[in-house]
Amino acid sequence: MPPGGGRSIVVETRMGTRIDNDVAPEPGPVQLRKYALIRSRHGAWRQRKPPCGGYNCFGQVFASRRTSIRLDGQVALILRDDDYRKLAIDERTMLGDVVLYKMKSTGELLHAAVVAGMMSIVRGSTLLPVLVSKWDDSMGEDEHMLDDVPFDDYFTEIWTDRPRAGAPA
Amino acid sequence: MIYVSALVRVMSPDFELELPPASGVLALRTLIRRHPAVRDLRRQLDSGAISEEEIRLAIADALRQIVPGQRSELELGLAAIAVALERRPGALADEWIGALSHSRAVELQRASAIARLCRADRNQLAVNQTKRFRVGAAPDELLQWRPISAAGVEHGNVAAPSIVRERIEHPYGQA
Repeated sequence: MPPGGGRSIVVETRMGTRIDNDVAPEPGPVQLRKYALIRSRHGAWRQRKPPCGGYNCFGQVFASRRTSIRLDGQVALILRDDDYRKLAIDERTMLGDVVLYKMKSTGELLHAAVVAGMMSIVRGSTLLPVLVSKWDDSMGEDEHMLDDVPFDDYFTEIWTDRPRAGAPA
Repeated sequence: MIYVSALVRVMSPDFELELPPASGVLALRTLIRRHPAVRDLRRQLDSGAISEEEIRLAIADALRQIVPGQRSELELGLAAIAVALERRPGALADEWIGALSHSRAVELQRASAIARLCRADRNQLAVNQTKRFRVGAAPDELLQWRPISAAGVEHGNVAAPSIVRERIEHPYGQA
């Protein structure tokens, strides 16, 4: 049964594990107001897509923007079955890597975003990832920097499906 | 200062505006649980400042406002009531968390998912109430045990020197 009780679609990991999901309804006036309020606090965000229902951030990253995945355990299954690994501290972030935002106090999943670009704030300085995020199942998609997010209590993990450099293919 | 009941604050569309977005329902439940209005709601329920009857009326009122196929404006408020009741004994908590967690209404998808978490934790809470009693002499009803030896010989009733009996006490006084 889908976690939210609505219509669900078939989503499976590479290993064939079925993933719970539900297709979210379109945003209502409250959700539109909330998105506008949050955007007003993040002037550097660049909107990629206006608010819509259907999918949340996990659905954007792992289910091709088709549906909403809501449970931490389901995301963990995808990461495991699809051979994602946490990026080592000495590895570079690259386009297509996935950033997970977790609550600092509980470790629970808040959000996921895809690395969609790299940019340096000052010419010649370190390249920083630019992410694309759909903040929840009713908001739009925005480009933003790693720490320009609407959460306070969080830490990030960067995951990739790339093999570790030097590892046998 | 104007006193506003925690129930009124939770059951307002503004409640959702005050919560950060979270796609993971575990994190969303934690954010709801930590919201000052939800903490107040729990305190006011515990102190009797808000009655269960008021909660029932607020739920009924919110459900009446639902427009089929559209998200409820009070969806996270309804979820917050489930979160506030999660560890509370009584029929209201069982009824509301049970009903919301079993709901397939598209208008309440997130609330339903949160209620499922509440129900799971509430069930866990009941299991955690397990108590162990060591009984010196076996009561008659426990002596119906008829072990069969490896050779298949029936030994009949055997009184163990001591019997550990587990009793799961339902926290709400049910059987």
